[in-house]
Amino acid sequence: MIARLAARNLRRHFRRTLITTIGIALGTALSLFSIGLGDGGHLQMIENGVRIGQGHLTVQMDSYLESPSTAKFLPDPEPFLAVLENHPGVRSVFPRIRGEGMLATAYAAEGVQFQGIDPSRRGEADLFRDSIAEGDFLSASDGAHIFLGQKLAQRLKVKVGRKTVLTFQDSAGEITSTLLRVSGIFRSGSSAIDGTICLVPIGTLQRALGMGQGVTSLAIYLENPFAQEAVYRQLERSLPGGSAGLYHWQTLQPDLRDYVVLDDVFGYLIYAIILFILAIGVLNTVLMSVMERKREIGILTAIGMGGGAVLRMVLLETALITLIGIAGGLVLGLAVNWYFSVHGLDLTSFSTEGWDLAGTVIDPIMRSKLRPHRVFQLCTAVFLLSVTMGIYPAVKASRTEPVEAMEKP
Amino acid sequence: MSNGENQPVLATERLHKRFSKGGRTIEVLRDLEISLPRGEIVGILGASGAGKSTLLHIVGGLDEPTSGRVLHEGRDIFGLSEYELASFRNRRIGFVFQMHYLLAEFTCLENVMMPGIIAGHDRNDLLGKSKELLVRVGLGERMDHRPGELSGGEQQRAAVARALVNNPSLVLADEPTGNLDALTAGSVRDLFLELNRDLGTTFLVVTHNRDMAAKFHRRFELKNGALHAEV
Repeated sequence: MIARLAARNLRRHFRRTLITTIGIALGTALSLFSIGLGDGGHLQMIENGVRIGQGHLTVQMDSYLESPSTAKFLPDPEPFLAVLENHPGVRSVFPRIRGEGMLATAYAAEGVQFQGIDPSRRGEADLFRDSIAEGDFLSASDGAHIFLGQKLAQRLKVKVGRKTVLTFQDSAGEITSTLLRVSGIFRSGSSAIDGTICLVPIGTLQRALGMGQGVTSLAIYLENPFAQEAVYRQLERSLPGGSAGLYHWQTLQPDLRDYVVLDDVFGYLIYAIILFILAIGVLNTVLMSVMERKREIGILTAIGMGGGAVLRMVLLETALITLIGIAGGLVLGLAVNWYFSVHGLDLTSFSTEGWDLAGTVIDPIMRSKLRPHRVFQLCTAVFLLSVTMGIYPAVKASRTEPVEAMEKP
Repeated sequence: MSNGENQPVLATERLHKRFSKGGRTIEVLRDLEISLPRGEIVGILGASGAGKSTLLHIVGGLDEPTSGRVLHEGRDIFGLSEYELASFRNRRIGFVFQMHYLLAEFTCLENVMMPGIIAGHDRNDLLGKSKELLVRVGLGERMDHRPGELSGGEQQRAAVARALVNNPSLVLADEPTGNLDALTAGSVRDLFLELNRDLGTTFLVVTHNRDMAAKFHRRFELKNGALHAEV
């Protein structure tokens, strides 16, 4: 009976109910779109960040974190690789050497971050491999070649096929140089990356640095980035101990981590504002409905409806209007998210240059990524907030004095 | 307390009601006493503002007296909790107001069923009882009509059926014919008399219409806060 009364109360002011429902639906859809795009953008940034950097998880010497140096390397990565390559949660593992040095040509010299990679491994350095502007990617794991960013090449006035000299400290602390010929030039879209990073075959660097088979890190890429914590805990138990440790990308790329956290906080603020506006709309609708029905509530009270039943009736009205709004918002929000997950939001018209931030590249085409638990969280928040807003009108209605409510007009 | 057949359906003891308004104190009811045996139909007459509606609201548990007691079948209704009082109004009292106060969104039948639904009665039993009452008050053909589709007299008849659906021991009517023409008012009065005679329902009817009360068992005039029996 209470449910029927509540449903009819909503139906009798159909236009007002509809406007409030549409408001809830649009707010829910807007929040879903915003969450999907934000999470999708973060995921793209993190994926690009870990592809440029050290993977979702990284094995490296513990002392490397405090002061990175090619002297702090894993002399024998094989026992680690044996565990990592057989773990079901691990998509791929790439041995890496990372260091800093000076790259010089006959015209100029620039400080660079060099990365030793194995070009024969499928999936390695895809971000750079897919961004070739001139020439070719590295081919042999021990060739005397270098693959560098376009801005760096411009500053060094070097072209494909020309010679460069990379100077760095070897593992014994001695300054050493190696001659490398430019195999290709990449353009990632990030001026910071294109102006500082160069790739060299890992075997060439191992030889030049005097590391033997050693590497500075093992970059681990996961099948499911959202399962990072679970895989981390499993690997931490099964990897060999010693002075090498397993690290999250959040530890190795704190700028990116902080940006994502800060952006999430701003996102939550925006959702809070949207939800607050929604809640005011719900409060307004329910309060008006209760005030208009003062006499009716008075008569129901007079014929024996208790305050508790009146309270439940008004709360049920609030819940109904909210649930319908959420259902509409879900349909609209999921449809919009699906569109932007397939087609993406193209932001290339806003900048001819690519964007880089917090040590990673931002894709100019943002793709939405909406996870079920985020949808559940939002819908729960909208529902609870709306029903909370219904408490005041419901309590007011439950305290209706029948005599006062039924005073003759 | 027993609620046996021997107890009066309604009895008041030194009922007092005082209002304060604009710094003035108005004594509406002064040590008012009335006793209604089961099966009586009693009229309360009086000028506008004499306190007739206030008396009805207090004996119906809608308003509280400043002092004094209201005993329903021997039980002090203001000793009940808020929940118990709502349940008492629902099950033991039937209200008929000057305005019909039917719920506009519900059909005539649904309006009549409403107190029974609130009481949690079996839906099928309630449906049968409500239809029977509507036939009895002459609305057998208007059950599925909404209040807006009924005439003033029909609306008031539906309100009477609603008041009776839970078999109350007392029906309180506050100016039930106040908004009706003389002919329709007469038919509502006759309905009260018929229901009183056939069902034995006790009625306390507030009215300023002497013709309305002329055929009731007893009549009182409310004057200066006290009831004066009319012969």
